[in-house]
Amino acid sequence: MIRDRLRYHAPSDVKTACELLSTLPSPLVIGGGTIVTPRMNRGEQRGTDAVHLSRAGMDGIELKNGKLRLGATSTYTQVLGSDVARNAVPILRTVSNGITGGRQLRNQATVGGAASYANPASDMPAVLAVLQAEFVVANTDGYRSIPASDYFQGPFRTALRPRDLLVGMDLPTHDLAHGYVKFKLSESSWPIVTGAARIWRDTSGRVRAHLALGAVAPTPVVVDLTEFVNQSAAQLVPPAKEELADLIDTRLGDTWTDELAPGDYRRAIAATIGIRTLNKLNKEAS
Amino acid sequence: MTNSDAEPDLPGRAITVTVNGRRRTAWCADRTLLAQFVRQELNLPGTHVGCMNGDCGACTLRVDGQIFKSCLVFAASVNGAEITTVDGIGTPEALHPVQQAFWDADAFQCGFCTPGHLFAALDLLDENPDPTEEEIRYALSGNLCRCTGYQQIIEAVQAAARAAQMASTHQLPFDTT
Repeated sequence: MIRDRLRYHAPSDVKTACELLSTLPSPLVIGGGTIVTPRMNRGEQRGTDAVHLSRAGMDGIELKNGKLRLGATSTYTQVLGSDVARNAVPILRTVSNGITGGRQLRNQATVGGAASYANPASDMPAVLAVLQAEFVVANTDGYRSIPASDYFQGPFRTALRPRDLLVGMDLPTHDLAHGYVKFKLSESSWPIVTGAARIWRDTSGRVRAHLALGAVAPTPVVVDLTEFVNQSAAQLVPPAKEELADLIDTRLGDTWTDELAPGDYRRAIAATIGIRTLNKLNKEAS
Repeated sequence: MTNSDAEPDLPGRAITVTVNGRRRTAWCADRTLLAQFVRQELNLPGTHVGCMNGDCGACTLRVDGQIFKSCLVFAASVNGAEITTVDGIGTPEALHPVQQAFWDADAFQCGFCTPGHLFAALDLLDENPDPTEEEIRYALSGNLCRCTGYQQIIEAVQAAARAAQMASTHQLPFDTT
């Protein structure tokens, strides 16, 4: 049960939400509520006011200037039901389908909530990192955009400032193929390692490939695999596992440890999960 | 209207919902979660409170056609909504066919998780009347049974699906909603 004497707010638009965040003494932003609410129950997160974004009109999923604008309060169920998302960024469907917690969680949990919480051992950070998402942020001064490479700054830490609101994410569309793999110890577990990969043609016509590994380090580890692309066939020829392990190691600083697995273990299996992810990508491409 | 949250002068509001077909208005503190609201303010204790963490699924109920874990939902957010709790899907004298299937298959031991499992099963069968075992396991993945009676729960859902198909074939009433 929540013990703080909270006042509940459900702003009807982004501007009102930003004004609330700038004026209330200690506001807590609620996207879907699946993360912040239990933290408040446990007294791990305290505040004077709950600012619930469910009615702020931030759940749109639409094509905008050649990118997919995914509203921050889009639930995983909304993503799964969106033809636009399925066609433009198919990896979103794969990852949304596998969100832990059952249909109930997918009906409530939001992509923006996961991105704001930035739990290293969760699904979305690696996916948003490999997609090179642009995070659209609002506050009372206006809007700004943060690239994924700057957004994830550490465990449970992002480039969002205290009075910022994550409004949405702009994602590249029509990649050649994606792959996503999650390794976890049981159905209801948080992931131990995630792998997200994409292959795409850039504006110069060059085919590029990236792999991002989540839950191995405090922030997603992105490996550029473009040198392994057969340009004439527009196809990735995955490196050997040992070679991939070396590539991961060159980009890996601290590892991520939590109650489910130590960092050494995550590091030991990272290349295996990476190879599985690349095989998934190639299977989709074929 | 009552207020079971005894702390004085709490920020709060009156909430009106249609619950199990009946329009109800009750006061709740802003900090009240939906699981507390239906149990304490609406006196519907069939919704069980387990983990308060979104893990166990015992508090699952339906809000405007979608299932939610009510320990994660602020009561203030459902003002105006249509809610179904386990108290509204059957009666001891006339069990819902899915409840009957759980009863027939011994799909519970302590029964604490049963309300949540029923809603997960109803949600699945509403969308997919002929699920595979894999689809049933996936649909129940947000609900925990610490007695570990999962096999019987899966068999109950399979039996409920068969019963629904038979009812459909013979044009008998079987309503998963």
